Amino acid sequence: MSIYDNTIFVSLNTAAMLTGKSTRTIRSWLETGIAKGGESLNDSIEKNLVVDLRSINQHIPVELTPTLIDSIDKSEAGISEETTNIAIAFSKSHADKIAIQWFELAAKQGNNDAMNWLWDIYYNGYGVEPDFAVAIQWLGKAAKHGSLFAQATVEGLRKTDAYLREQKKDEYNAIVEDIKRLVKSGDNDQK
Amino acid sequence: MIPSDTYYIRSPTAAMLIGKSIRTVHNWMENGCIEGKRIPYPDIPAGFAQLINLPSMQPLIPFPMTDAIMESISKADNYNYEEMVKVGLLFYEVKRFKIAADWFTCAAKHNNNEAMLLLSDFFIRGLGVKQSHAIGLQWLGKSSENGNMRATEKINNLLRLLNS
Repeated sequence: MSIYDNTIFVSLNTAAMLTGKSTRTIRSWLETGIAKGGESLNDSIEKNLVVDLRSINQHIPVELTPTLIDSIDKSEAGISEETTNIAIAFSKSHADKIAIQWFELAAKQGNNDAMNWLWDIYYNGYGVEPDFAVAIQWLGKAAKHGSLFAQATVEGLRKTDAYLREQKKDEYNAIVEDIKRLVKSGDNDQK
Repeated sequence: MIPSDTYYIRSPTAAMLIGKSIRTVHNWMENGCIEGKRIPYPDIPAGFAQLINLPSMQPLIPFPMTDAIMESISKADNYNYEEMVKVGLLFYEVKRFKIAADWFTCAAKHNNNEAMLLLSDFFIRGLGVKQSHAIGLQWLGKSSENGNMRATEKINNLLRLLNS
């Protein structure tokens, strides 16, 4: 089966995420005929634009294999593992920015694998500036959502934290002093 | 100087101070355990709001409420998030961790990065909350993301050692 055997429609959002463009861009592509598509028939209440995957094939930086098309289909149905699979495909093709969007969507759908990837991406800076503050949040989320890998890393950090606390007892006491000073600053304002 | 008997706070704030529900505060007010007054408040279905006399709550508060402290609580009642952190720290000092955690949570949810850092510490050490390193790290990251340098430094130290 190749993509040219069947017409496969995807939603405007999916089309935008696959190409790394905004939905506005896809909309204008539809209007100018760069992309083919139309209104979906099964939704009568709201105008639901769909895009023919073949017409935007050249703007997608990964090869649309049957497996990937299957994943796109299932991801649109809300299966988070498949969303992660799409993200991994983009990641392998070094389309990091698009990959991150898909990982974030998968994470939003509750997939802890994607959360792990995001920790890795922000920690190492794949396609983005390394951002430890964001990275560590994804690590925590992944651990909370049951990722054993993340839980092991968190356990490592716990040990590191305990070690640092022991090493920096004096500094920690300084923080406690700081807290006491903060508490008392209210009184000082009054004087 | 404002006479101390003019400190009135909203009942949700009073509930947070004693670590009980708003319903309890209202009950206690009705049976005279704490003093309060009703003021007309057309925006809510009941048509009135209950205000609690702060000095009358002293027997329920585990530290003496000086004027400065009542001023602080009063500001916290008016959605001043730095003051909320201060009030939380007062409870931290007397080891009432659950109440402290409630105050920090409230301030942290309104983007106070100091509260986020304190809350992160509470989750990591399991003070007043169910211990969870995963949640502790998330608050640590949020605190750093919101510009707390101490949180950033802590993360850098942790992650630097993770790879060594």
